[in-house]
Amino acid sequence: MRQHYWEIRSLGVEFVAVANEEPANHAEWRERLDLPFQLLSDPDSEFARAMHVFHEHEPKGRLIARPAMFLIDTHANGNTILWEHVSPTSRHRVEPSRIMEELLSALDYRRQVVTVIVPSSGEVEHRIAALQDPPLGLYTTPAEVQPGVLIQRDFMHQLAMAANAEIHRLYADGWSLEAVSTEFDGSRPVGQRYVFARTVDEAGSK
Amino acid sequence: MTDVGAFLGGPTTIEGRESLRGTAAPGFQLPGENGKKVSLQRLTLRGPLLMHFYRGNW
Repeated sequence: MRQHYWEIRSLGVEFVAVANEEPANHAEWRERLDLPFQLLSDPDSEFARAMHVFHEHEPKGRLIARPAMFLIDTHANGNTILWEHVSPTSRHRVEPSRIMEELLSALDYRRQVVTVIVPSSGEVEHRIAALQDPPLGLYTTPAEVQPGVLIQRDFMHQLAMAANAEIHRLYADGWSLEAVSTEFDGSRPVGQRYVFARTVDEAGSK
Repeated sequence: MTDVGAFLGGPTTIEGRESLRGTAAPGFQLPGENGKKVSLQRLTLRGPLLMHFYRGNW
């Protein structure tokens, strides 16, 4: 979400992340990952329970919240949940452009702009290599490859494929490509950002 | 915060969970990175709020 944070803020929407973690861990993550948004702690998952997104994490038996998003609107009479997205499984991932599309519709935006970031193959290799010591090519047997590294490797490749699939979906759904730019992490190019736009009518259709 | 038994889904399904869309958002006071509590009222002072429950590892 970090790469899409400013899109959300540009809509006048505040963004916070919530997790069953200690504030000290959050402070360390925010510093290390240079996150522009606040991380809130829900150590007893009480708030996750209140939002009905609490579930048991099966492999370790650890209790965590299901990945979910809530758009909370504010008005004179209180706060209303305007939109929500709750993952069907604990590992489910949704393209940020889909989230943005739903947010724009929930907020009644007629002119809708979403972006898709496709990680470059260099970035995929960079992220995978950063997790490995020694690098994958130096392992002599598959047994020496840590399972976590393989999972991350698959994840990064899936990330790139999902982003490409999303571009095809947006084309097929009538969005038009407005701009393409190189996405940077600091001074390091990490992929391509594709900006799509469309205008919906009052009824909410194209 | 009690009465949260409505979520009936197993670990990998979401069956049984009713959408909260259109309902009132429960208030909260959750600690930020510095340990200081942040309230829903404060976060919605200037407009809508998007809350993201995540699993860590950004």
